[in-house]
Amino acid sequence: MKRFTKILMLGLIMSAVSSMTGCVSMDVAPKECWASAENADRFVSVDSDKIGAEADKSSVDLASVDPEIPNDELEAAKVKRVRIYRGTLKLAVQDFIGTQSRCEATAKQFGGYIQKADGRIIIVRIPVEKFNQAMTSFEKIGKVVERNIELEDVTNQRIDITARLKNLRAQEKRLREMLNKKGDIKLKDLLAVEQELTRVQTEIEVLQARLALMKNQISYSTIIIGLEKLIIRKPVLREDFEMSTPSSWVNELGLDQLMNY
Amino acid sequence: MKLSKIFVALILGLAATGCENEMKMDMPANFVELNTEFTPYELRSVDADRIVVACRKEMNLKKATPAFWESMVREALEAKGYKFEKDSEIRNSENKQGKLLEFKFRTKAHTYKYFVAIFTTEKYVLIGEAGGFEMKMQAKRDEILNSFRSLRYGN
Repeated sequence: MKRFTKILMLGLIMSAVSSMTGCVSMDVAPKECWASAENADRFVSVDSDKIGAEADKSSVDLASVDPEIPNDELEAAKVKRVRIYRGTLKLAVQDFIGTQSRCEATAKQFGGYIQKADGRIIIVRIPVEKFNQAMTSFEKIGKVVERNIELEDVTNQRIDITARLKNLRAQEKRLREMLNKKGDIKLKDLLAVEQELTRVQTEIEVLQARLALMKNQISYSTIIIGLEKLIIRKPVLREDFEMSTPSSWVNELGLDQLMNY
Repeated sequence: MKLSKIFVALILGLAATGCENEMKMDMPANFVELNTEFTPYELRSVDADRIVVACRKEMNLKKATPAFWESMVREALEAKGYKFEKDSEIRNSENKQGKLLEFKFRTKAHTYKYFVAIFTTEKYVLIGEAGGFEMKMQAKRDEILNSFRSLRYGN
């Protein structure tokens, strides 16, 4: 009986420990959820009031974002979060050409420029810190039919490209060093090295171009303005409309009836 | 006895006819009467210069004055292409005040004049109309207006 009691006690203790462990893991779970929610927020945050300012202020420890990033990258990665800002406006206007001129003037006012103006579509580039103000100004040009703001967090992409570039440059350097040791290398291998060097250089160029494009997109927001004709609805009378008179004889008066005998 | 009854009835009938209210207008001299059957006119006459003078009566609207009808008539005629020339006050033989409107109407061949006189009673609008070639109408304007002044409704 004593033995049975001991076993029972032991079982109860184990069960308690087990449930305590469960409690701990349950404590962790919401924390993880919070962390992932925070990350998600970083990627899709669309708080138009903080646009521009937020891009400058927010920074993040990337270790919490991507544990795979090497240590030397992490040092460099304690950087500002970077986002690309895009705004879309659909405006109803009466005069397309006049509106185009007004958009150009507004873009200049905020230090931006017209990237493309093609009939009913105007693409404007505005320095990111002026994005919000510019959107407000563009909205005043016509009657706003649609308005949309989109943010794309490209911090990780930029880090990825930078890291890949760094690796490729190191690879390029090694390949060049190999080429310089011509005497010790076979022709077949030499050709293979050269081929690899060409591939690496091409990839470097592609990544550099992507990085340059990204830098441009980060520093200059894009506002796409679509124009449509503003229809002013006036009450239209039919051509044959005649306002009635209180007495029809009034409309019968005239020489045609009087002199028709 | 029977004959006397018929005679009395005949007398009463004639008297009743005589008492009946009707529209009256004295036509200018040398105007001849035109048939008014199937027309809105009570009287219509024409002279050798083809000036036509006519009168008609229409139901009046409650509290509608000659000034009210003047603006209605003017608007309707201007919409038809008549050129308004002038309006003036006119009084009939019963000293009722009315309105006289004068219009001009041009066709490719001729210019016409068209006069409208409006008087009102509680029940009716009395309308006098005259139209013809401009020069002829000008020459007989006073006679036409005198005719309008005789426009009345009663017995």
